[in-house]
Amino acid sequence: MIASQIRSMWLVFKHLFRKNVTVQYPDQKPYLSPRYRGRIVLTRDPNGDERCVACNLCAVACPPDCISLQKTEDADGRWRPEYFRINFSRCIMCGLCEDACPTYAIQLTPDFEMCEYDRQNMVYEKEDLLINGPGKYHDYSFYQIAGKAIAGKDKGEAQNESEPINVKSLNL
Amino acid sequence: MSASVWIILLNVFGVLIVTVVLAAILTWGERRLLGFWQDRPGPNRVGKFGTLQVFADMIKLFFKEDFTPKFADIPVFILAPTVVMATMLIAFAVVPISPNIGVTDLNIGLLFVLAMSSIAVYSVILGGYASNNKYALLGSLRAAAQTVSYEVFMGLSLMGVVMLSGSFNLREIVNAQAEGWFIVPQFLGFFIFFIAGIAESRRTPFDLPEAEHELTAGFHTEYSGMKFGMFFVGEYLAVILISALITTLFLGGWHGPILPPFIWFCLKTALLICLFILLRAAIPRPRYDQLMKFGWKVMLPLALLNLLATAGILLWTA
Amino acid sequence: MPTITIDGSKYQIDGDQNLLTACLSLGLNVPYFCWHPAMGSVGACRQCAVIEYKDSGDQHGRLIMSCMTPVKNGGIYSVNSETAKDFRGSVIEDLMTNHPHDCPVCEEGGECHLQDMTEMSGHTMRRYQGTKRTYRNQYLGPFINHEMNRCITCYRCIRFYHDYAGGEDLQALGRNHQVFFGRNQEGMLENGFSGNLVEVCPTGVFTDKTFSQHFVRKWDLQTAPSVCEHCAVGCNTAPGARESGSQQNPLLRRVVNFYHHDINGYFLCDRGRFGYEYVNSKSRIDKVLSAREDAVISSTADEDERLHKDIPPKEAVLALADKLAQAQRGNHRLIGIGSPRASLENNFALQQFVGCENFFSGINKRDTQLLQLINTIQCDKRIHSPTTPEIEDADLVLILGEDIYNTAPRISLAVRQAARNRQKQQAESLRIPLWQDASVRQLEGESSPIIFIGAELNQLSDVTSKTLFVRPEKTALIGEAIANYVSSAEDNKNRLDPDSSQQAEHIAQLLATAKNPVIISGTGSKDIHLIHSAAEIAISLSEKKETAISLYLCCGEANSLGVTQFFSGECGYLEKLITELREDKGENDKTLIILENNLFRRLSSEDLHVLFASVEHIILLDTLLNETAKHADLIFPVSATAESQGTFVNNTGLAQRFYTVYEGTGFIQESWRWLSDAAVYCKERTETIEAISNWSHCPDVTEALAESVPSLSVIKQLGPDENFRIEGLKVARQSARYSGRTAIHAEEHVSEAPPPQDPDAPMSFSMEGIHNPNRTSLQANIWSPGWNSNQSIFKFQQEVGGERRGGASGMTIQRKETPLSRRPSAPNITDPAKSASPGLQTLPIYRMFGSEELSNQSMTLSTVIDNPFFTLNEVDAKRADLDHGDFVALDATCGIFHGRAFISGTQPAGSIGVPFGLPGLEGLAAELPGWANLLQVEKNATTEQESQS
Repeated sequence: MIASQIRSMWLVFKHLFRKNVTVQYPDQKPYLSPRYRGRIVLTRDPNGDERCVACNLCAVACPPDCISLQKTEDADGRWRPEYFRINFSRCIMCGLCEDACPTYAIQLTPDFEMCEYDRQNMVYEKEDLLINGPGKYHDYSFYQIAGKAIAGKDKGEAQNESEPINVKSLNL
Repeated sequence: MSASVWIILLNVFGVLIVTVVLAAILTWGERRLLGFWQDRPGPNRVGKFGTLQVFADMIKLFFKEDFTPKFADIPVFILAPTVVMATMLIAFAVVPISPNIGVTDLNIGLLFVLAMSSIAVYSVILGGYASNNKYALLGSLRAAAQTVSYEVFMGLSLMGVVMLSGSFNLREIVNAQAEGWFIVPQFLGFFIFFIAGIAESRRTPFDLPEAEHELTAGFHTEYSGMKFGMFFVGEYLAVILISALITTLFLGGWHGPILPPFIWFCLKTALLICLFILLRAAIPRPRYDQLMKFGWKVMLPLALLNLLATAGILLWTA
Repeated sequence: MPTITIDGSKYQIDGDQNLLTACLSLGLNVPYFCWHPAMGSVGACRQCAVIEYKDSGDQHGRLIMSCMTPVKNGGIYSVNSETAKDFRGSVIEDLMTNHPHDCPVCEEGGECHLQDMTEMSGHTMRRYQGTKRTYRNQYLGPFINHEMNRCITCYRCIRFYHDYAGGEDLQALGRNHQVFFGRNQEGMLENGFSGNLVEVCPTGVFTDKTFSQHFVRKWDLQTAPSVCEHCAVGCNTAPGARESGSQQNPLLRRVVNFYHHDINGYFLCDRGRFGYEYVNSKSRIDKVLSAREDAVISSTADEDERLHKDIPPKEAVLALADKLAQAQRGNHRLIGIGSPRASLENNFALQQFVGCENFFSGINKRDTQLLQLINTIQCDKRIHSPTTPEIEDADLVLILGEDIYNTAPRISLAVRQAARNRQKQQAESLRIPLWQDASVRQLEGESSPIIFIGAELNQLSDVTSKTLFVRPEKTALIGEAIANYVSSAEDNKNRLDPDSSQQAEHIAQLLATAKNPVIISGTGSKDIHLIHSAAEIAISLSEKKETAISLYLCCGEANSLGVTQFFSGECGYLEKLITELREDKGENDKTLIILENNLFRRLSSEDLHVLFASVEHIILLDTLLNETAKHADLIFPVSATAESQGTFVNNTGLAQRFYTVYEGTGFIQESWRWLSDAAVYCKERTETIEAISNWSHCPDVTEALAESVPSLSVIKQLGPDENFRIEGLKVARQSARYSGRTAIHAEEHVSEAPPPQDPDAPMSFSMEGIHNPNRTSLQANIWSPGWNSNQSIFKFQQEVGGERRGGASGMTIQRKETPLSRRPSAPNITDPAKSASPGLQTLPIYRMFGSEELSNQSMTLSTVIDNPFFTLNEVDAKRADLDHGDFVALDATCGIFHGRAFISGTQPAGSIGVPFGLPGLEGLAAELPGWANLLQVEKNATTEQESQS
């Protein structure tokens, strides 16, 4: 028993000569992978339109319930969030919202430096969350795959869609 | 005033200030060392290498709300942390640091030290009682049981040294080691005293009175601000005291070649302090029943055996 | 009871069922699409395949469609065998090949039967790489959205809309792989039950457009059991609400059907489903308003109309308390006018507040007489008020003067089912099980006799075997004649023309041979003799058959019958108050408190003028700004049905409790709370005032009411009180998945406020509490693991289509049994030409959209309400030289009303059909039936053009 204690003391002592693993943040900034789970952003599709379709899946996946949004439908037929709010003072950066997002709209970024003196400033609205790019997924555009018609993409024009059926034709 | 009075005053305040400052520095030193042993730097942001961390902590502690719970026994609550600091500092009075440094030369010095360290446990018990908090009370009960158990063979383990040197006077014990350190004939005694010393200072792995996983912070759960700081410093004073005592009793005190005696004493003590910290870094805390069993069933018989053997050998050689 | 073995376990089941129904009744998860509990099986989707074994030695068995297989005693089946699972998986994979990638932008997502079944069948990865079939959608009106790409051709929509509800304009078009469910031309779905397509469609082809405007997913809806306030049938609903999140008022988001075995079953009418929006409307009152005393420059208000400004609630409550104190001192009179659309509790609170002698029902004399008569009729033990399933089982339905499709829509759907009973009997004789829907419907035989006698009939004409379009007076006479024929009495037959007399005799014969006939009538025709004749028929039949006869009497408004209970005999009507006020010499100041009532729909303008002129103060408690509000000095905002708790008594005398779905905004609270608040501040203390001020929970009021009105004593047993707990927990109004709790209010303040407490019901305004609808009938969020859609209701029924496991809501009020006394027989028919009053008789006709007060204020529903119109017979039109669509002026005693003239083939000669309560014609409502002249104002532009070309 004593020997094992002494051995462990010796092993611990040897660590005196090891290199520290600590990174001296903020003097040194560590490399964070693009898939790091930091500040949440809302991305746009390749055409620059908001990707978020206000499906509410991120909100329901969120363990601390810190995402809230309201669907609205624009004249072009797209669903969009009327407001989209993340209360970062509650967010635990778990990334479940990103997993749940069916349109790659919500993405977590490597930025985690978001301290505020006033907690109210941790509440991010859609304007604060939207970025001007597609984030990690450059080519994805939900409405090109979905069957819902929007301005500029009629029925049958999405990927893998055939021409709409003319019910009144005789060639059924 | 005569020069001797000045020397006495210098000795008294010198020892007092140096030990307190040392204890304070230890708060930083320990964290730094623990950091190294855990492959991290430890506190290194305040001042060069984090040396000013002590001041930062001190300023923080002074400015913290000194909260006294409404339900506490307030006089006792305030008294408790002062007891630990006072007893530890008083105990330093008899520690001979070098041939001409040392506050007093008491012929029952060893007993005085033991007495002081026993009184120190009142601090924990009173603190735990006065907090009127179940965790604090449990912590202090553990402290009482632990101290009572480990004090027995702590005293017994030293009897070998007393027999070898034939004196309770620490200065004479040091002098008796001029030819050879007592650690060699009294290795068992050293070992037992070392263990008992850890238990007496309530350091890991014997920090059951404040075991934070079970009792939040044990006896000082309700303490904050400078009162907490006094407990904190008291603990480091105990570490220094036990290290200094081991140096005195087993490692030949100031004796050593080439270097001046004062440096030798400091070196040995510092090394022992590091050993204490290494213990904290390496050894996990035992269960409470394991602690008691170890004390009564292993250490006490060993101490008695040591005493018996030493006495036997002494009588044989005499 | 046959015993069957499913996957090794033995079960006792009902032998008349098919295997799918049996499995579902046992709570087993068998996927299905085309089967519907109310519509039976057609075996179209092949989704419910299970394995049937020949005997216990059979190792392989064979695949069968469980919905098409009758259960066999001793049968051995397997739901979970690999073969069956693989088969079901491949079926769903086929169904999904053309399904678009739409779920995130589909309103059905999250409560989609297709999603559930896909998950259940284990199909998770699409293998099909080919192109998807697409369609163009149609505009189907403001209520229903059409998204044909999502269709899996289960045919449920057609089976409901055409087969079950009798709609002709939605059809399966195309063929093969290209079937299209839609209309010949774009346009609003004509049938008033089209809203059920949203719930019937297993996927998102038909979705609720009004819900989509403020869409949230099902799991984000806060819900509680409620009762529809748009007619007196008392359908159970589950309204869903959610906070707005953008610092606006919380919204009532939608209303869905809430299964009640005896009333609405699986279906609601469109007025009930889409009428909810009035709660969110702009004319909603959410502040305490007080009349301004200062003159407002350039105001467009009439001279006697008030302009209002909002004041602090306390000020208003103190003003009301002061009036109450003055009344106690005896130098002031408080007059209370109740309402048939307010809950029993609110009416009772007002009655206590003003004192019984000062409380009036808020119903005019005409309606009071009708309701009192209905109340008396229902007290007769020879009369039975049938439940909806009982009406569906009737082998003869006689409808007297009630256009039930527009006044009690859910009942007309039941009558439509009753028409199939002969077909069902034929099926039974051919040993075809009734759940074999397609086979039963193929049987060609005449439908069960549905006989209608009255002024106007909508939608049911395709199932009626006989229709007589006559004015109410004649209906009453025919009814009386039928009663006489049934009881073989000879008197008065000669008052009828021989043809009608012969008809009456024929109907009497049919009634006499019918096993369980149902007679339906009601207040719709506003004719007391008509209702009486209906009762006479029932009583004479009952005497003949020596059993109680089903007589369903429609009462008009949600709580008409409830308010009637406060008065014995014909009293408490508004005209009585006016007479009192006319005789009053004005010794005391008077304050009129109007409870949730628009008097302009009840009284003539002349009477109203007297009423408003003879009181000093008018205090209104209401939800919406209406005509009456313009005359009020003080207006208290009160909660709508979905925001409050209370009790309604429906047509059959069933008292049902509705619960608060969400907290209203602003200063909205229940009327009784305003009155109770005023009582608290009242300086004069009496026992009654003390009692009123001590009310803090709705059950307090309910209990006091139960003590006070003997016939309503059962209502205190309705539902658990506010202290009820299950395992120490309340019932959760929010689902366990409710999202956004820490973000929805974060714009206002980042830290979360605690949820409001409900003092009235054992329910929480949070996700904390009991979620299982099996444990309590208070749980209105119908959800079961794996069954996110409303199809999960079968998990909470004792058997498929049976009573709910949590217990049925509602209790029949205990009225004293009194035999109906014979009244003097109906008067002879007045001939319009010879009548003392000039012109034509105006008769009330009804519209599902437009005749009901609250739903008229709903944003979407108000867009489909007709513009003012009058219907008249061709002969009368020719006489007045009117063409279809001409603009006319109706000159009635109460004023001149403008609208278009519509020529109707069924409008009885000598009468004008006036839509009851239609916006623009509300003022006429009090005067129906009456006399009026039609004057042409302008020729219809389109007809003129046509004639020119």
